[in-house]
Amino acid sequence: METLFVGNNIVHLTEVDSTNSYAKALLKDVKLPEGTVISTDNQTKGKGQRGNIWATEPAANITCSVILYPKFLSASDHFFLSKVISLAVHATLAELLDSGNYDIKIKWPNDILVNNKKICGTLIENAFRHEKLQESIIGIGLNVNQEDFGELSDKATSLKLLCNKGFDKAVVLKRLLKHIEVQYLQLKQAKEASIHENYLKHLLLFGKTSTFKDLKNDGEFKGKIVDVLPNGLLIIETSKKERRKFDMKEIGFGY
Amino acid sequence: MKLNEIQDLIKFVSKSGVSEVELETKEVKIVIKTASKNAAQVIYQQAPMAAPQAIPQQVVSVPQPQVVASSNDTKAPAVSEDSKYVTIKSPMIGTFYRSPGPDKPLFVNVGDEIAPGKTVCIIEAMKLFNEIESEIKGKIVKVLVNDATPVEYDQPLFLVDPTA
Repeated sequence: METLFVGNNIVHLTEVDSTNSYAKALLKDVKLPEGTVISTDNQTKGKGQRGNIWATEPAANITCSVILYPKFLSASDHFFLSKVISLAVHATLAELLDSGNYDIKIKWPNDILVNNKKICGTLIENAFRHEKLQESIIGIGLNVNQEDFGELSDKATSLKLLCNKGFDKAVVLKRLLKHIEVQYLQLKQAKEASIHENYLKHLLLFGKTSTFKDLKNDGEFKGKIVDVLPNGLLIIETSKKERRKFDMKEIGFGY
Repeated sequence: MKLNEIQDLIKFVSKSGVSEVELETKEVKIVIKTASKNAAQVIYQQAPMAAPQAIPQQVVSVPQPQVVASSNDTKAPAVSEDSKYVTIKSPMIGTFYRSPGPDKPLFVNVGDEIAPGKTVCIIEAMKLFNEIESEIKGKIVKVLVNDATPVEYDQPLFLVDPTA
């Protein structure tokens, strides 16, 4: 392993309901070293956003959870975790895919798209105590060798579909864990400014005048993404030079 | 109908072992459901006023039968001994959830004993799901925020009786 701690302990399961749930249950009983990874070939009840599911084809993709203890982060900075994980996935894909042919973007807040199709989703579950993050379980689903996405085929993709060749999942996972460690250590060393700058650099539609949907008022407007606040809120400057803040489920953008 | 009459009625129902009682008068409609052997669920509705709005309604689940009333023009009775209680506050802006998932049981209920480390709720912000652990020992007296609603930084979420 090329890492100091991320992935030095890997618990691999042939099948599990959700790697995040498994990690959470395990943490109740034992103190796991930071960087422990739970991975599986077949996740049967993957979690998406509250109530949604993350469906994955058995054995085709990377489905794992990384356990971190970011006790140094204050509650108001917890979105930085999302940023560093997005950057780690971005860096992994940039290493595997020839950048000339592939447009790899972070879709706010933390999906990863290649050529406008989703390739990776993350779901982070934290435990808070004394206003501090104690444990963080980073669930990652990265589409590697899946070829058929059914009705989602115009919205989802995999490394194999992009490159017309299969990938060794173990190799992809190793690279992903290396990048997670690199990014996480940046955060630990308080490199917030450069993390933020990098996140914006790879953010889909950043600085580009586009049409957005205001889901609260059910209207469309023109504007451009100009920033993301420390708590994760999206800042869009409208064509009338007005800066507006958006939470998730308040804004939609076609991509 | 007076508050003490309602309380008497609830006591009577919970002792009788009946699982559900429905009572309707000109002014109010009361449904008392006994969920389990020691938990009575009370639904108290003020009769609708002239305006055809949604009927205000609150559901409380408590080990000791107790009534929470709500209406358009009167405020729920203030808890006078608030001072001896402590609050669990939100460490961040987000959405407050009382259960780990839509079909999952609640983390805590009114009347539950909690101890440091006990997860009391989830605050979701930007797809980060933050399980909030209690730092105090005591008994949940009141849940101050409705499930799946937005909360601000430092907003009180639970009222806890530390002496219980």
